Amino acid sequence: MIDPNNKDELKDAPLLRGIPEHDPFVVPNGFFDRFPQTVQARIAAQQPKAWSDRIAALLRPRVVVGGLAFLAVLATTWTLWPSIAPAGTVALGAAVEPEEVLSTDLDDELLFAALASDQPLLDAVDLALSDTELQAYLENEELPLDLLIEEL
Amino acid sequence: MSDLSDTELLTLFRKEDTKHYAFNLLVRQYQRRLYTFVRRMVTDHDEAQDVLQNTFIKAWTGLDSFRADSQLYSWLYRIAHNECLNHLRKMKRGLFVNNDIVIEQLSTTLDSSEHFSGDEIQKKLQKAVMRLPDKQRAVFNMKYFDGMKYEAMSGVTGTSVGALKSSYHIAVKKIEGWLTIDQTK
Repeated sequence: MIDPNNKDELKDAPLLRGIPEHDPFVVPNGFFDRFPQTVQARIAAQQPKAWSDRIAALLRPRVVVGGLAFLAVLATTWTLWPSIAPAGTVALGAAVEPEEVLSTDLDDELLFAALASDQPLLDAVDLALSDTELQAYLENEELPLDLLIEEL
Repeated sequence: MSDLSDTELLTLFRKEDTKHYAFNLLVRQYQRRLYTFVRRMVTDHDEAQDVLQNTFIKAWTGLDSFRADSQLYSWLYRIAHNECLNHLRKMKRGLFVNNDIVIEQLSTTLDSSEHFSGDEIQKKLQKAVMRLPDKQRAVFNMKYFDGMKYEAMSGVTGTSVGALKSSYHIAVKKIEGWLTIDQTK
Protein backbone atom coordinates (compact mmCIF):
# COMPACT_ATOMS: atom_id res chain seq x y z
CA MET A 1 0.00 0.00 0.00
CA ILE A 2 2.75 2.45 0.87
CA ASP A 3 4.70 3.37 -2.23
CA PRO A 4 8.44 2.87 -1.69
CA ASN A 5 8.96 6.40 -3.02
CA ASN A 6 6.59 7.57 -0.36
CA LYS A 7 8.74 6.20 2.45
CA ASP A 8 11.22 9.03 1.96
CA GLU A 9 8.54 11.51 2.87
CA LEU A 10 7.83 9.52 6.03
CA LYS A 11 11.38 9.46 7.28
CA ASP A 12 10.38 11.70 10.17
CA ALA A 13 7.23 9.69 10.93
CA PRO A 14 8.34 6.29 12.22
CA LEU A 15 4.93 5.32 13.55
CA LEU A 16 3.23 6.00 10.23
CA ARG A 17 6.02 4.27 8.37
CA GLY A 18 5.69 1.21 10.55
CA ILE A 19 1.95 0.62 10.17
CA PRO A 20 1.35 -2.62 8.22
CA GLU A 21 0.01 -2.38 4.75
CA HIS A 22 -3.51 -3.65 5.10
CA ASP A 23 -6.89 -2.29 4.03
CA PRO A 24 -8.95 -2.49 7.20
CA PHE A 25 -12.28 -1.70 5.57
CA VAL A 26 -14.31 -4.82 4.87
CA VAL A 27 -16.66 -4.83 1.91
CA PRO A 28 -19.91 -6.84 2.22
CA ASN A 29 -19.96 -10.03 0.18
CA GLY A 30 -21.15 -9.62 -3.38
CA PHE A 31 -21.21 -5.85 -3.20
CA PHE A 32 -19.11 -5.29 -6.29
CA ASP A 33 -21.14 -7.88 -8.23
CA ARG A 34 -24.38 -6.06 -7.50
CA PHE A 35 -23.13 -2.49 -7.63
CA PRO A 36 -23.10 -2.00 -11.44
CA GLN A 37 -26.75 -3.11 -11.64
CA THR A 38 -27.63 -0.70 -8.84
CA VAL A 39 -26.07 2.18 -10.75
CA GLN A 40 -27.78 1.18 -14.01
CA ALA A 41 -31.14 1.03 -12.22
CA ARG A 42 -30.68 4.57 -10.93
CA ILE A 43 -29.70 5.78 -14.37
CA ALA A 44 -32.78 4.12 -15.90
CA ALA A 45 -34.98 5.78 -13.28
CA GLN A 46 -33.65 9.17 -14.31
CA GLN A 47 -34.18 8.69 -18.05
CA PRO A 48 -37.01 10.76 -19.56
CA LYS A 49 -39.94 8.65 -20.72
CA ALA A 50 -40.27 7.88 -24.41
CA TRP A 51 -43.27 9.28 -26.22
CA SER A 52 -44.72 5.80 -26.67
CA ASP A 53 -44.60 5.31 -22.89
CA ARG A 54 -46.31 8.64 -22.31
CA ILE A 55 -49.08 7.83 -24.77
CA ALA A 56 -49.52 4.41 -23.21
CA ALA A 57 -49.88 6.08 -19.80
CA LEU A 58 -52.56 8.39 -21.17
CA LEU A 59 -54.51 5.49 -22.65
CA ARG A 60 -54.92 3.69 -19.36
CA PRO A 61 -58.64 2.93 -18.66
CA ARG A 62 -58.86 5.10 -15.56
CA VAL A 63 -57.37 8.05 -17.37
CA VAL A 64 -59.73 7.62 -20.33
CA VAL A 65 -62.84 7.27 -18.14
CA GLY A 66 -61.85 10.23 -16.01
CA GLY A 67 -61.22 12.35 -19.07
CA LEU A 68 -64.55 11.44 -20.63
CA ALA A 69 -66.39 12.20 -17.40
CA PHE A 70 -64.77 15.61 -17.25
CA LEU A 71 -65.72 16.36 -20.85
CA ALA A 72 -69.30 15.26 -20.18
CA VAL A 73 -69.60 17.64 -17.23
CA LEU A 74 -68.14 20.44 -19.29
CA ALA A 75 -70.50 19.83 -22.21
CA THR A 76 -73.55 19.66 -19.91
CA THR A 77 -72.62 22.88 -18.21
CA TRP A 78 -72.07 24.63 -21.52
CA THR A 79 -75.41 23.43 -22.93
CA LEU A 80 -77.50 24.32 -19.90
CA TRP A 81 -75.77 27.63 -19.15
CA PRO A 82 -78.41 30.03 -20.73
CA SER A 83 -81.24 28.33 -18.83
CA ILE A 84 -79.38 28.59 -15.57
CA ALA A 85 -80.00 32.37 -15.50
CA PRO A 86 -82.70 33.20 -12.85
CA ALA A 87 -86.25 33.43 -14.25
CA GLY A 88 -88.51 36.38 -13.71
CA THR A 89 -85.75 38.86 -13.44
CA VAL A 90 -86.53 42.00 -15.40
CA ALA A 91 -83.20 42.93 -16.72
CA LEU A 92 -84.30 44.59 -19.87
CA GLY A 93 -83.16 47.97 -18.80
CA ALA A 94 -79.65 46.84 -17.93
CA ALA A 95 -79.41 44.50 -20.92
CA VAL A 96 -80.37 47.02 -23.53
CA GLU A 97 -77.66 49.32 -24.74
CA PRO A 98 -78.58 52.66 -26.34
CA GLU A 99 -77.04 51.53 -29.64
CA GLU A 100 -79.35 48.50 -29.69
CA VAL A 101 -82.41 50.70 -29.30
CA LEU A 102 -81.35 52.93 -32.15
CA SER A 103 -80.39 50.11 -34.50
CA THR A 104 -83.51 47.90 -34.16
CA ASP A 105 -87.18 48.50 -34.90
CA LEU A 106 -88.53 50.35 -32.00
CA ASP A 107 -90.46 48.24 -29.56
CA ASP A 108 -92.45 50.19 -27.00
CA GLU A 109 -91.39 47.93 -24.20
CA LEU A 110 -87.74 48.16 -25.15
CA LEU A 111 -87.97 51.92 -25.59
CA PHE A 112 -89.48 52.48 -22.17
CA ALA A 113 -86.84 50.18 -20.64
CA ALA A 114 -84.04 52.09 -22.32
CA LEU A 115 -85.43 55.43 -21.25
CA ALA A 116 -85.89 54.14 -17.71
CA SER A 117 -82.24 53.17 -17.39
CA ASP A 118 -79.94 55.45 -15.50
CA GLN A 119 -77.60 55.89 -18.40
CA PRO A 120 -78.75 58.87 -20.51
CA LEU A 121 -78.86 58.26 -24.24
CA LEU A 122 -76.87 61.36 -24.96
CA ASP A 123 -73.96 60.05 -22.87
CA ALA A 124 -73.18 57.70 -25.71
CA VAL A 125 -72.68 60.65 -28.04
CA ASP A 126 -69.52 62.64 -27.97
CA LEU A 127 -69.66 65.40 -30.56
CA ALA A 128 -66.49 67.19 -29.47
CA LEU A 129 -67.79 70.39 -31.08
CA SER A 130 -67.16 73.87 -29.84
CA ASP A 131 -70.15 76.02 -28.94
CA THR A 132 -70.00 77.88 -32.24
CA GLU A 133 -69.76 74.67 -34.19
CA LEU A 134 -72.64 73.18 -32.26
CA GLN A 135 -74.83 76.21 -32.86
CA ALA A 136 -74.06 76.12 -36.60
CA TYR A 137 -74.85 72.44 -36.71
CA LEU A 138 -78.17 72.83 -34.94
CA GLU A 139 -79.23 75.71 -37.17
CA ASN A 140 -78.25 73.83 -40.27
CA GLU A 141 -80.08 70.68 -39.30
CA GLU A 142 -83.21 72.65 -38.33
CA LEU A 143 -83.60 70.55 -35.22
CA PRO A 144 -86.34 71.39 -32.77
CA LEU A 145 -84.25 73.34 -30.28
CA ASP A 146 -86.97 73.57 -27.66
CA LEU A 147 -87.12 69.78 -27.33
CA LEU A 148 -83.36 69.47 -27.18
CA ILE A 149 -83.17 72.08 -24.49
CA GLU A 150 -85.69 70.10 -22.45
CA GLU A 151 -83.60 66.93 -22.84
CA LEU A 152 -80.44 68.70 -21.67
CA MET B 1 -12.06 -10.17 -18.91
CA SER B 2 -9.18 -7.71 -19.28
CA ASP B 3 -9.74 -4.02 -18.83
CA LEU B 4 -10.47 -1.91 -21.87
CA SER B 5 -8.47 1.21 -22.62
CA ASP B 6 -10.00 4.64 -22.15
CA THR B 7 -10.32 5.06 -25.92
CA GLU B 8 -12.07 1.72 -26.33
CA LEU B 9 -14.48 2.48 -23.52
CA LEU B 10 -15.30 5.92 -24.87
CA THR B 11 -15.80 4.62 -28.41
CA LEU B 12 -18.29 2.04 -27.15
CA PHE B 13 -20.00 4.58 -24.92
CA ARG B 14 -20.58 7.03 -27.74
CA LYS B 15 -22.55 4.50 -29.78
CA GLU B 16 -26.19 4.36 -28.74
CA ASP B 17 -26.50 0.56 -28.92
CA THR B 18 -23.42 -0.09 -26.78
CA LYS B 19 -23.72 2.85 -24.40
CA HIS B 20 -25.04 0.93 -21.42
CA TYR B 21 -22.72 -2.01 -22.03
CA ALA B 22 -19.71 0.35 -22.09
CA PHE B 23 -20.81 2.09 -18.93
CA ASN B 24 -21.28 -1.23 -17.19
CA LEU B 25 -17.70 -2.12 -18.08
CA LEU B 26 -16.49 1.25 -16.84
CA VAL B 27 -18.19 0.77 -13.48
CA ARG B 28 -16.74 -2.73 -13.11
CA GLN B 29 -13.30 -1.49 -14.06
CA TYR B 30 -13.09 1.38 -11.60
CA GLN B 31 -15.52 0.63 -8.80
CA ARG B 32 -13.06 -1.00 -6.39
CA ARG B 33 -10.42 1.68 -6.54
CA LEU B 34 -12.93 4.49 -6.20
CA TYR B 35 -14.80 2.70 -3.43
CA THR B 36 -11.59 2.36 -1.41
CA PHE B 37 -10.91 6.09 -1.65
CA VAL B 38 -14.51 7.02 -0.84
CA ARG B 39 -14.71 4.59 2.06
CA ARG B 40 -11.63 6.07 3.67
CA MET B 41 -13.19 9.51 3.39
CA VAL B 42 -16.64 8.73 4.77
CA THR B 43 -15.84 5.59 6.84
CA ASP B 44 -19.31 4.02 6.78
CA HIS B 45 -20.04 1.45 4.04
CA ASP B 46 -23.62 2.57 3.34
CA GLU B 47 -22.55 6.16 2.96
CA ALA B 48 -19.66 5.12 0.79
CA GLN B 49 -22.12 3.26 -1.42
CA ASP B 50 -24.29 6.37 -1.77
CA VAL B 51 -21.34 8.59 -2.61
CA LEU B 52 -20.00 6.06 -5.10
CA GLN B 53 -23.39 5.79 -6.80
CA ASN B 54 -23.58 9.57 -7.07
CA THR B 55 -20.09 9.56 -8.53
CA PHE B 56 -21.01 7.16 -11.31
CA ILE B 57 -24.32 8.88 -12.00
CA LYS B 58 -22.41 12.11 -12.55
CA ALA B 59 -19.93 10.23 -14.72
CA TRP B 60 -22.81 8.90 -16.86
CA THR B 61 -24.09 12.45 -17.34
CA GLY B 62 -20.71 13.97 -18.11
CA LEU B 63 -19.00 11.23 -20.10
CA ASP B 64 -20.31 12.45 -23.44
CA SER B 65 -18.44 15.69 -23.00
CA PHE B 66 -15.28 14.12 -21.55
CA ARG B 67 -12.45 15.52 -23.64
CA ALA B 68 -9.81 12.84 -22.92
CA ASP B 69 -7.26 15.49 -21.99
CA SER B 70 -6.74 13.49 -18.83
CA GLN B 71 -7.05 9.82 -18.01
CA LEU B 72 -10.52 8.50 -17.41
CA TYR B 73 -9.53 7.25 -13.97
CA SER B 74 -8.26 10.70 -12.94
CA TRP B 75 -11.50 12.22 -14.13
CA LEU B 76 -13.55 9.71 -12.17
CA TYR B 77 -11.35 10.17 -9.13
CA ARG B 78 -11.95 13.90 -9.33
CA ILE B 79 -15.71 13.40 -9.35
CA ALA B 80 -15.43 11.01 -6.39
CA HIS B 81 -13.23 13.48 -4.52
CA ASN B 82 -15.77 16.29 -5.02
CA GLU B 83 -18.68 14.04 -4.06
CA CYS B 84 -16.89 13.07 -0.83
CA LEU B 85 -16.29 16.70 0.07
CA ASN B 86 -19.93 17.54 -0.71
CA HIS B 87 -21.08 14.65 1.45
CA LEU B 88 -18.90 15.69 4.39
CA ARG B 89 -20.04 19.28 3.98
CA LYS B 90 -23.68 18.18 4.17
CA MET B 91 -22.94 16.27 7.36
CA LYS B 92 -21.70 19.47 8.93
CA ARG B 93 -24.63 21.55 7.77
CA GLY B 94 -26.90 22.44 10.60
CA LEU B 95 -27.07 24.89 13.40
CA PHE B 96 -25.58 22.74 16.11
CA VAL B 97 -23.29 20.52 14.12
CA ASN B 98 -19.62 21.35 14.32
CA ASN B 99 -16.55 19.52 13.15
CA ASP B 100 -15.97 17.79 16.51
CA ILE B 101 -19.41 16.27 16.42
CA VAL B 102 -18.87 14.95 12.91
CA ILE B 103 -15.52 13.46 13.91
CA GLU B 104 -17.14 11.87 16.94
CA GLN B 105 -19.86 10.43 14.68
CA LEU B 106 -17.32 8.97 12.28
CA SER B 107 -15.28 7.62 15.15
CA THR B 108 -18.31 5.89 16.64
CA THR B 109 -19.10 4.40 13.25
CA LEU B 110 -15.60 3.00 13.12
CA ASP B 111 -15.84 1.48 16.60
CA SER B 112 -19.20 -0.16 15.97
CA SER B 113 -18.73 -1.13 12.36
CA GLU B 114 -18.62 -4.80 11.53
CA HIS B 115 -16.99 -3.78 8.31
CA PHE B 116 -13.70 -2.77 9.88
CA SER B 117 -11.10 -5.47 10.33
CA GLY B 118 -8.10 -3.42 11.34
CA ASP B 119 -6.13 -3.85 14.55
CA GLU B 120 -5.79 -1.23 17.25
CA ILE B 121 -3.08 0.81 15.55
CA GLN B 122 -5.02 0.84 12.31
CA LYS B 123 -8.08 2.07 14.15
CA LYS B 124 -6.00 4.81 15.79
CA LEU B 125 -4.62 5.79 12.41
CA GLN B 126 -8.11 6.03 10.90
CA LYS B 127 -9.32 8.12 13.82
CA ALA B 128 -6.32 10.41 13.47
CA VAL B 129 -6.97 10.81 9.74
CA MET B 130 -10.58 11.73 10.52
CA ARG B 131 -9.35 14.67 12.54
CA LEU B 132 -7.72 16.27 9.52
CA PRO B 133 -9.64 18.93 7.59
CA ASP B 134 -11.56 17.32 4.72
CA LYS B 135 -9.35 18.48 1.88
CA GLN B 136 -6.19 17.65 3.75
CA ARG B 137 -7.61 14.24 4.58
CA ALA B 138 -8.21 13.63 0.87
CA VAL B 139 -4.61 14.61 0.10
CA PHE B 140 -3.25 12.33 2.82
CA ASN B 141 -5.39 9.39 1.70
CA MET B 142 -4.41 9.78 -1.94
CA LYS B 143 -0.71 9.98 -1.11
CA TYR B 144 -0.29 7.65 1.86
CA PHE B 145 -2.78 4.90 0.98
CA ASP B 146 -3.08 5.14 -2.81
CA GLY B 147 0.51 6.22 -3.54
CA MET B 148 -0.71 8.79 -6.02
CA LYS B 149 1.86 11.11 -7.60
CA TYR B 150 1.52 14.80 -6.82
CA GLU B 151 0.92 15.68 -10.49
CA ALA B 152 -2.04 13.29 -10.62
CA MET B 153 -3.35 14.64 -7.32
CA SER B 154 -3.13 18.13 -8.74
CA GLY B 155 -5.42 17.07 -11.57
CA VAL B 156 -7.89 15.62 -9.09
CA THR B 157 -7.96 18.43 -6.58
CA GLY B 158 -7.19 21.42 -8.78
CA THR B 159 -4.46 22.40 -6.32
CA SER B 160 -0.84 23.11 -7.22
CA VAL B 161 1.85 20.47 -6.64
CA GLY B 162 3.64 22.71 -4.16
CA ALA B 163 0.51 23.26 -2.10
CA LEU B 164 -0.19 19.53 -2.12
CA LYS B 165 3.30 18.67 -0.89
CA SER B 166 2.98 21.18 1.87
CA SER B 167 -0.47 19.90 2.83
CA TYR B 168 0.77 16.31 2.91
CA HIS B 169 3.77 17.08 5.07
CA ILE B 170 1.64 18.96 7.55
CA ALA B 171 -0.85 16.07 7.64
CA VAL B 172 1.95 13.56 8.27
CA LYS B 173 3.28 15.67 11.08
CA LYS B 174 -0.15 16.00 12.73
CA ILE B 175 -0.95 12.31 12.51
CA GLU B 176 2.45 11.26 13.76
CA GLY B 177 1.95 13.60 16.69
CA TRP B 178 -1.49 12.20 17.53
CA LEU B 179 -0.28 8.61 17.25
CA THR B 180 2.62 9.41 19.52
CA ILE B 181 0.31 10.93 22.14
CA ASP B 182 -1.97 7.88 21.90
CA GLN B 183 0.98 5.59 22.34
CA THR B 184 2.15 7.31 25.50
CA LYS B 185 -1.33 7.13 27.12
